[in-house]
Amino acid sequence: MKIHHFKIYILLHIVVFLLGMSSCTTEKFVGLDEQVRKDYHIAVVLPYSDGMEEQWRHSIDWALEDLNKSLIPQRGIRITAEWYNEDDYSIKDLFTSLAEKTDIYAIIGPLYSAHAAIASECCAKTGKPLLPALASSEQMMRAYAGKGFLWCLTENDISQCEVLLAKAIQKGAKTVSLITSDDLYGQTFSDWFAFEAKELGLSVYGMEVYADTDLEEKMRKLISGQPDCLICVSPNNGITKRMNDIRRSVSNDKPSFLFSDGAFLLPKDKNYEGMEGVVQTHDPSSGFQISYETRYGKSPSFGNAHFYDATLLAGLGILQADIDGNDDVNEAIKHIVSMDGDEINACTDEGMNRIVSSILRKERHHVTGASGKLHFDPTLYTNVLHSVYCHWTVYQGKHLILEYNTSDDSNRTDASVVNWNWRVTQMQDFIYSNTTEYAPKKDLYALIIAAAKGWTNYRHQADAYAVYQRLRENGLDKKHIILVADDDLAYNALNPTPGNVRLSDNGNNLYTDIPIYRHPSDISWKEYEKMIVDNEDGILPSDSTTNLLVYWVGHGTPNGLQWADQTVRADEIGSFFNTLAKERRFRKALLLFDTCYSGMVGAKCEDIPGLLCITAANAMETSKANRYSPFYNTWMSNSFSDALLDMLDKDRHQSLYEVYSTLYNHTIGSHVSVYNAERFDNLHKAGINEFLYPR
Amino acid sequence: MSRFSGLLLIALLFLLYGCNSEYTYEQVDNPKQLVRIVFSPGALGDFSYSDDILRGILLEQKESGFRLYCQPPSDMNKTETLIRQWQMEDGDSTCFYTILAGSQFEKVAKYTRSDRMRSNYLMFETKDTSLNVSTFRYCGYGTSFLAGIAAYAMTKSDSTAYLGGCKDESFIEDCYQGFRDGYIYAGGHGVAETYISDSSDGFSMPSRAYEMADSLFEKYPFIYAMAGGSNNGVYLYLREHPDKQVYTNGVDIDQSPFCDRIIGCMIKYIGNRVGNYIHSWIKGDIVPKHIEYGLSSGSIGFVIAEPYKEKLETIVKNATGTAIRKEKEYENTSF
Repeated sequence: MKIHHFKIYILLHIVVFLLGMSSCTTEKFVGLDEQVRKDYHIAVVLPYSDGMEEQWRHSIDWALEDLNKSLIPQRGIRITAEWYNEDDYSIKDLFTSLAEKTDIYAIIGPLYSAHAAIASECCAKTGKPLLPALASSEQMMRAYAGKGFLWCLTENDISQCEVLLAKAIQKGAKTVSLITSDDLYGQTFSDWFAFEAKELGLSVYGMEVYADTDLEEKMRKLISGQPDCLICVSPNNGITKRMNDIRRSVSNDKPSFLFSDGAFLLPKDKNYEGMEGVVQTHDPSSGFQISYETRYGKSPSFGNAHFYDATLLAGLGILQADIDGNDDVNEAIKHIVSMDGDEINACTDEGMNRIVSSILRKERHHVTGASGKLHFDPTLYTNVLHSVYCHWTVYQGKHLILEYNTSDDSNRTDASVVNWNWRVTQMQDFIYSNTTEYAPKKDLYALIIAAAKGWTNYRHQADAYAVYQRLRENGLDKKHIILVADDDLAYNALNPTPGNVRLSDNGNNLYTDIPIYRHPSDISWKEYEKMIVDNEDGILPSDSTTNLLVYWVGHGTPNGLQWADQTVRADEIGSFFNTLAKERRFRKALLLFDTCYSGMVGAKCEDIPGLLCITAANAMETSKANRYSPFYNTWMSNSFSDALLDMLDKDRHQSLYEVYSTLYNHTIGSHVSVYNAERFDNLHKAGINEFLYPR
Repeated sequence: MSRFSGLLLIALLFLLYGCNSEYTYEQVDNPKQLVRIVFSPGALGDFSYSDDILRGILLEQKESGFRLYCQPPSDMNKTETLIRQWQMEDGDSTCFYTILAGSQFEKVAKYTRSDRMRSNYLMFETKDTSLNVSTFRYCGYGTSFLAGIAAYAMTKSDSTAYLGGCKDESFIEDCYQGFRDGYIYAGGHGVAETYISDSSDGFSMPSRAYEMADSLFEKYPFIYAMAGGSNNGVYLYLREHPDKQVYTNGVDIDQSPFCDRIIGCMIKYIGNRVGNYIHSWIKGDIVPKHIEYGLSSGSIGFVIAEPYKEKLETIVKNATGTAIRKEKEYENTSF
């Protein structure tokens, strides 16, 4: 029995062993879908018109394919895209909805700058990661810089403007003009063209902002001035065609024409022969172009590289967030673009695989994409620090890329900033031949003018109130400050903090004890001028012992300064101060103008004795807003005034030369200019305190 | 019974355990073979040579289905580090094929292991046959000889100009000799020899080439430009001066779309050549340690641009035999 049991026992062991063995060889096939632990969705919002859908799908589907090849087996996650036609939706409605969808982890697009600005406003509210990739409006980037949700894969159009001007120089131009569109896209060019031209040593012959109806008239006007080069900013194919018709009708050698990136979208044929311009493009050293051509049998178009990278960045951000165990894709993208180890090029299947592996291994390799290094400004994380542009022309009916240009980080430091850190090289020198002896100062009056109204112009009144409060702090009484402002901010329906006007979200309330003399909307400039000159109501009983401070903030155009809805010509303003001078109504006058094109007024104030005019911008350029608040949904201050107030907070006893120097160095985006120094006191000896304190 | 039950339980657990441990995961398309290529810094995007190499590899990838890794380094030091790192990663595996795209990598190639690197590494444009890697190079003499004949037929000028990217670079020297001999053979008297630089920087200095074109075209109706990316400066000059009856050539690939006065291009078919090497590696074919590709190989040639075919194609075709013979003589004397 024992032997029998033993046999059975052994037999059972054999059976168990065989069963075990047979079970070891049983395989279960796990398909790719089953390996997916989690699906992540991204939204893609891009226009389908003019056959563009295929172009976008090429880039985005390709990037997703390569990403998922690595993400599924290595992490068990998959990224899929939901597509929306940008042409079919109300952008506001679509992005309001997408921004709130919790199952959408990032949004790629939209294409157009104006749409991207709306999308940014919506996504700012929920912090939804937004990768508009090609939208390059400087205002949009500046407004949302540092908010943590906006990921722009090109530099803003300040850089494009600079590249266009550099191309003009390369072609031998000494003089340039600009024609630009009256939209958000064109605004960056009109805002920065004159400033950058001056920085690059070019003379500006003219600048026109066109509407649909006056394009031909304005373009021909600029052409008749015969600049060496005319830079043409076109937002769409229709405008480009019209601009090209005018270009072709010009028989002179001058000007040569350079087009902005919008013109690259136009399908080229013999009608566009000789047209040339610049456009953001792939990084030639990434190999993207050749890969694209091999895969699709044609050259990549506008945006292909950038949307490939947008998808790459969104995908890697999602991977990092998945590893971190949270949904904070913005923080994850920040982590990805901060990695600073050896570079890995993501433009091949193996490159993508290596990046995913290295992230999973917690290595910190730097990612380079189709458009170049994905290096973001390390303080604001809003846009890449350098872009690649190509110089193209139409030759024998085809696009020909002539060369690539990179706006590398050698002449810009560490911010997007970037564009804000211009080196100051062109400050004015002053000659002091004036030996006028001034009687002792006995009094000080101030005229403060906030000439623009409405919530969108919030910054102007806010700055005016801030200047008013500084003077009051210095002991100047209310009767000596004549403040003109429309006073429509404190209780504006859009004000989230009724009764308050501030320079920043958490700044002090400036709207306290503010006696406003008149509203610009209620009186004309002529009426105001008469009140002051005639000393109506004894408002300005000044004489040759009185110093006069004038601070004017608002809008300016090439035709003059805006006074509410009126335009006041620069010579009218010059004439006003000339009258005051002739009537010996001031001992010395310091005029501070913070408006676009304010240099025009400065020029009209020349030869007035005892008057010094400091303007935020020269006669050809715009001044810039500063400090955008998503909370207040408006710009809170102006660049020039911001620098002025900051300086006054730190030191109210600087010489006027030091004031000029400080303002010049800290006012971003325009050239602070001094007029009539020859007819004024020595700027190194005269101090700003003469115009800040009553005695 | 209880002992039997226990055993059966163990068997069941074993079975279940076995079931759980054996999954076969569907793989994404992920071939074992990996091709890696390293270019010299700034080489990709040259519209010609380097771009053609990558194109050739990608086309072969479509056929053969290997994985591809392309790393454009920011400087040569990083390149060397990268290649050494790859060599360490490779171990004894034969699944990796590494392409060193240019003679600049000779120093790195010397570090490769002699026992097996030859079949897994490829380098080109070097005359050094002592390296442990497969190498090949082009000889530009014969093609340039044909270019000289075409240039004379086009201009009938006594003298013409040669613009080299880099002095004392062997291929550039071959091209000058061939062009001069061809030009004189056809009836010309001499060729003015100029170079953009003494270093390889001269292959990426289009502005300097533009200036030199401006000067040379004042005296000569043709510039034979062998300057890589710098050739773009010559093309730019010609595009900007459409009324001048002066001409030039393209280099490496068909560059005739860049300018309507490119009479023909020296085409190397480098992309095809590199693709063929990869194909041979995948098939396990043995390739010679070093190969020279001259005019007779069909891997390099002077292709007349479309607008000039009627005038020049027959002349060049008829001279090809002579060019091949002259090239062989030149190779025999220059080595």
